Amino acid sequence: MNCKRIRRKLVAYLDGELREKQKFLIKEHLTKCRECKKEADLLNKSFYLLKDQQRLKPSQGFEANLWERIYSAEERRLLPQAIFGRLAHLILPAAVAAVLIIGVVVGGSVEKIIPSETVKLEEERYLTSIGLDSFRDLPPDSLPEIYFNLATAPEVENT
Amino acid sequence: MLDSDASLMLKFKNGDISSFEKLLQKHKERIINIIYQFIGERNEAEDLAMEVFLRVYQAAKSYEPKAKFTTWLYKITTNLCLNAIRKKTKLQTISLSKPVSTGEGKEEELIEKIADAAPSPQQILEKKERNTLIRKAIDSLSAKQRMAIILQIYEGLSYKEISRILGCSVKSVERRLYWARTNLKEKLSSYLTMESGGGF
Repeated sequence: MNCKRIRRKLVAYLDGELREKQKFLIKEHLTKCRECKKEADLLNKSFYLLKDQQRLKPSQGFEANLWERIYSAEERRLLPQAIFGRLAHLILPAAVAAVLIIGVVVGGSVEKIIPSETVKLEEERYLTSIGLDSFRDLPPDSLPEIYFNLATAPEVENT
Repeated sequence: MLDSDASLMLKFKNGDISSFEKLLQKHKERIINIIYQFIGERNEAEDLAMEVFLRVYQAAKSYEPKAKFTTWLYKITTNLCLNAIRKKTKLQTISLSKPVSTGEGKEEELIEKIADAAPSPQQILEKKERNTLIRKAIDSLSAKQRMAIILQIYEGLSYKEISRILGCSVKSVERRLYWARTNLKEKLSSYLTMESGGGF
């Protein structure tokens, strides 16, 4: 392996993550190549420089604060359930009341959109537009037709 | 066979709160440190760590020990960290390579970490400079490279375990760690060469 390929594998080599064959090849190379050996040393030193950083100790209030957070999260989670449980018997009447209110509100708005005078006028126009001709299609010899014929027959004057 | 943490989690699932407390005692420091290395701020790290354990608490009902407990725990941690970084980037429109602010709390924190009983002002300054340099170097990595390297360096996880946590292939972990370590080496080279020549 050349130096470039060796260097690509140096980190994995130092971390002990290579297979035996690759490990052997790199080990061999490092005994001969001063530059790659220097690179390996620097990588190693930087690793230990980071590793030697002193670790933080948790602050004194850490656990108390955690438990406080856990309890308030639990309360938040359980609150909707508690409210629902307490008000369950009111849900059906409330739903019926809501439907009635919506009905009244919607009905009122429909009346506002189409004024009652307009509705009356429309009805009158429809009724006056119906003439006797509208009843000509009655089934023959049916009772309605007999009544219709009687109603429309010219009056016979008694002389 | 179940690992001991998974057994504790199952006990907690069945209502044993003390099992959750044991898990918390065992892992809190580790989780805070992973997040701290990722985010770089103590208060935010503790806040996110609390969120991790809150998720663990809430997930107990549906918990199934499909993988190692720690793999699951680190997965939750990683997801929260990546989300936090995304939100931060959106809100502040900052780049991940932003210089480290040594604002409120941070300097004290760095000084706090000095192990020596009575360090000299010179030593304090050196340590502070070193920590700032390391923080800058870590911040310069992409979020995914950063998480991979934190899990590897501080938790000593194998490439395979990291791949499970990050939900990617082992090859991808290898690539991320290669670039992360190469970048860190570049960023820290001034310190590393100085150190071999007699100290910072």
